[in-house]
Amino acid sequence: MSDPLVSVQNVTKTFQHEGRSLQVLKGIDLDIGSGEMVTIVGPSGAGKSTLLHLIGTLDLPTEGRILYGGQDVTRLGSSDLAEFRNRSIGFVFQFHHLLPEFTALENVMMPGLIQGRRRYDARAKQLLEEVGLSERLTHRPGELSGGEQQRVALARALLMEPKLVLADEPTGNLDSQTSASVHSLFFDLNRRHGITFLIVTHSRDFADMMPRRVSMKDGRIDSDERRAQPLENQGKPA
Amino acid sequence: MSQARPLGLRTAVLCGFGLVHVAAVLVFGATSTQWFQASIGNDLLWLRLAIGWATCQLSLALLSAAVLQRAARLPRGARGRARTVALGISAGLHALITSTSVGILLWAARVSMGHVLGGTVASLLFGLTHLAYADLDLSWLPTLYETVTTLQGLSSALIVVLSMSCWFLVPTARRARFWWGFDAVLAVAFVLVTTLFPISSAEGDETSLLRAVVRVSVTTIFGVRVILRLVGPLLSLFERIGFRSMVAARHLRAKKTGFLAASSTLSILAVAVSSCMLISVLSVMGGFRADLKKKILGNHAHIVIDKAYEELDDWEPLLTRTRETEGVVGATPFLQVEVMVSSLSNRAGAILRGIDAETVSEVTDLAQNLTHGKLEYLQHPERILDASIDTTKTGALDAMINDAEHAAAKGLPDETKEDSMPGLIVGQELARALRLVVGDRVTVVSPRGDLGPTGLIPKTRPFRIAGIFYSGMYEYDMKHAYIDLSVAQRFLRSEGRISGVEVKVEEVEDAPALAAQLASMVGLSGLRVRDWKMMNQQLFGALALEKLAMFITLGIAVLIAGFSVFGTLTLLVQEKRREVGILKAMGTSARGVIRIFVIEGLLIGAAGGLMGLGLGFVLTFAAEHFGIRMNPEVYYIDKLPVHLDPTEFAVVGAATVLVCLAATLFPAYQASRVRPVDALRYD
Ligand SMILES: Nc1ncnc2c1ncn2[C@@H]1O[C@H](COP(=O)(O)OP(=O)(O)O)[C@@H](O)[C@H]1O
Ligand SMILES: [Mg+2]
Repeated sequence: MSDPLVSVQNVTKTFQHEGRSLQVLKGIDLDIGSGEMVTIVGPSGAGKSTLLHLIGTLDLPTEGRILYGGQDVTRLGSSDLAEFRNRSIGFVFQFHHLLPEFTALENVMMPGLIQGRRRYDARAKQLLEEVGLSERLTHRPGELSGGEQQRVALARALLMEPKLVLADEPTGNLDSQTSASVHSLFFDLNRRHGITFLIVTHSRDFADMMPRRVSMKDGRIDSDERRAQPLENQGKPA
Repeated sequence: MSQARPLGLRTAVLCGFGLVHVAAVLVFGATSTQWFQASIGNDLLWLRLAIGWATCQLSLALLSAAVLQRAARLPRGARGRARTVALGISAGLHALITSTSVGILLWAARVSMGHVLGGTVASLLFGLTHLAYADLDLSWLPTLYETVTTLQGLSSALIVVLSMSCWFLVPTARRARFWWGFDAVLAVAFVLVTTLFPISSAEGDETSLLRAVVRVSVTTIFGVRVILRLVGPLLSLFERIGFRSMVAARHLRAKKTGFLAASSTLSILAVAVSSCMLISVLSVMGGFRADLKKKILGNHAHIVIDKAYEELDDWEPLLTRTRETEGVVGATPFLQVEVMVSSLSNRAGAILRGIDAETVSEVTDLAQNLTHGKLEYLQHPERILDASIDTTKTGALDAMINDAEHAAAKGLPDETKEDSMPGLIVGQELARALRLVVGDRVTVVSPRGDLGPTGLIPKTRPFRIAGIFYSGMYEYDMKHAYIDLSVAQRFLRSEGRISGVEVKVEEVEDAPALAAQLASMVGLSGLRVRDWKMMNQQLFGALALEKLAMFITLGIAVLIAGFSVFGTLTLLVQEKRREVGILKAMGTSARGVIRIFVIEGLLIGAAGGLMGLGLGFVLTFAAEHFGIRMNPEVYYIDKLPVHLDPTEFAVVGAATVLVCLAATLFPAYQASRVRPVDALRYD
């Protein structure tokens, strides 16, 4: 097997809370290959979000390493990290976290704007079309429904053609029908563009559909199952 | 529209009427003296004014009643109900107070109808208590009047505030339509005043002054509206610069929560007011300096060449050589000594200067400063009497004396006539102290007397007042007297000698350099060459120090405005924490976040600074062109001097921006430290 896209090695995370230290992650080892679709499930408080943040370099592990293509990102300086996040990682959060002052199109273009002068108009429009929002380009987040907002967030996460898209309960506050359509969008994107997804979810249906399921419990990985019959195209190199 | 509109037509009319009413009160209050004087004894005008006033109050009361009745029908808790009710009540009370007090005052002053029309109503309307009550023995009236005025002032302020807040109840679309109409009218007015009215007023012409004031006001309002219209497009343009300016501009544009909106408005205003204050005060102080400089340069030479303790003997070559020096416009010799001048009524010490009447005008403004008499009378004193009879208004007795003297002078042979009574020019204050008019006779006592048996006998000589000058500097007007140089040389026993040479140069700022050049030219002959800066070093030094002190004091006001920018930005950073987290998660670096908030602070500062400087410019421009009268008895100038200095505007602008920049740094740093995990975790 070639180098995995992400390799989480013996990562622990300890929070200081009112003088007491609280170990939330107690030694995590996880490899994610390029083009994989991975879901993390587990009870609330298991440390799923914390792990996702560490993988997304939004936070640093207390111990352990996180390697992207062999490079340890925990050693990067803050501006290098910012640059790395911008180019390599896309986020989708439970609460969409769009910027309220900007239109849907501008929100999608934002990672490109942050990066530099290049305008990403065409690509952003194309992405919005892909998530089915070509009619909502100039709407502000406040003028979009929950599902639409989450689609915009997804389009934004994909703008820079990241290696990895991290999603933390992306359909956590959507109704089941809307959730289903967002879920199928994930599969669609993975199949068509070979994008790697790491998705935390509480939705049993969605988790059941995913080719690889990592269960977490109490800061440890409980189980890591791959489906016997992977979905078509799963694991296709990017 | 089925939905209840809190702001009906009546409220809108009341809003507008209330504002116009308050503006009218302010304008009339400010110009009350003129109105009062114009209509004193003109009962008809006063009657009209009183009727107009009563109509205003009555319609205000009716309108407020109508609005109240309408507001009462609104459901409890409807948006704007409280505001509308408050506006109705305060407008009604305002009308009530005013009309009641007018009634009481009319009754109190019923003694004389003319008095009522000429005084009391006037005083009620325009705040001339002292004039109206001078001959009314009703000691309680002023108290009533003051109470009423205070109440009126308070309710006016209330009406303004409430009207403005009610204005926001009008639907946005309708407000926008209003502004389009307003701007269209304004644009037409602007074009009209620009083509028809003068920008500055002719001296002493009231109508042209009024027109110039109208033109400047309309231009100012027009400018403000243009700028307000431009803010949006400009911000859009600004957004295109890049990602950071885009986020900053959007943050500022976004509708903010109540407190932050108030805070950012207040901080812009604070910056505006403080920078306006700073630039206005600096301009006035610069005006004083320029005024002083002008007066000093007008009365004194730019460069003086003399000897410390002696007089100059062989001065003709020096004069010619000085005149030939490049950069020198004129040079004139003078002889100077301290004397005593006595008139019939009084005596005073003075500096007597012998001047060359032919060349003195090349160097100083003496000829222009003469308010009475002429410079040529110094050489032709016999002309004083020819002229003084018809120009100087004196009593019958004076005329008789003048006539007699005139006749006597005519009878004398030419030379005696010239020598017997030479002319003397004195300053206005000296003339006042000695009670002199042109043609009067004075005696000058010189310290360089003859040696008598008991020692030095002071030499005295009679002179005739040939002119009176006003330089604008009290010291100067009190202490200086001029006579003809040759007369002075004879009188002071300095035949052929002078005290020094006065020089005027082309460019006043070059005077020090030119002085150095002249000094090297005259060499080691014991002459000293001083320029005007050197001679008035202390004065200008004190002024500069005062200005610096003022700059620092008012700079502190700008600093305090900076604190409010600091507070606003801290709040803004708090409010935008989550968004900063998102931006950082998407790969904005800490430096990028810092820059976003620094740009926001700078935009606030720039908006405030531009507003302040603009307002300061309008104020100083108006003060410079329309003049603010000052009491000349107190300040010795009749108009507040103002000097607009572009560099000062630049410095104040730069200082404001710097202060705002400093104020943004810490909040921006705080924003950059926001950890995306903390900002995103739980909402
Ligand atoms: N900044 C923090 N300080 C202290 N405790 C934290 C912090 N962040 C997370 N935790 C704790 O870590 C545990 C795991 O949180 P999280 O990763 O959000 O769980 P989940 O699996 O539900 O996403 C929780 O018990 C939470 O209280
Ligand atoms: Mg979670």
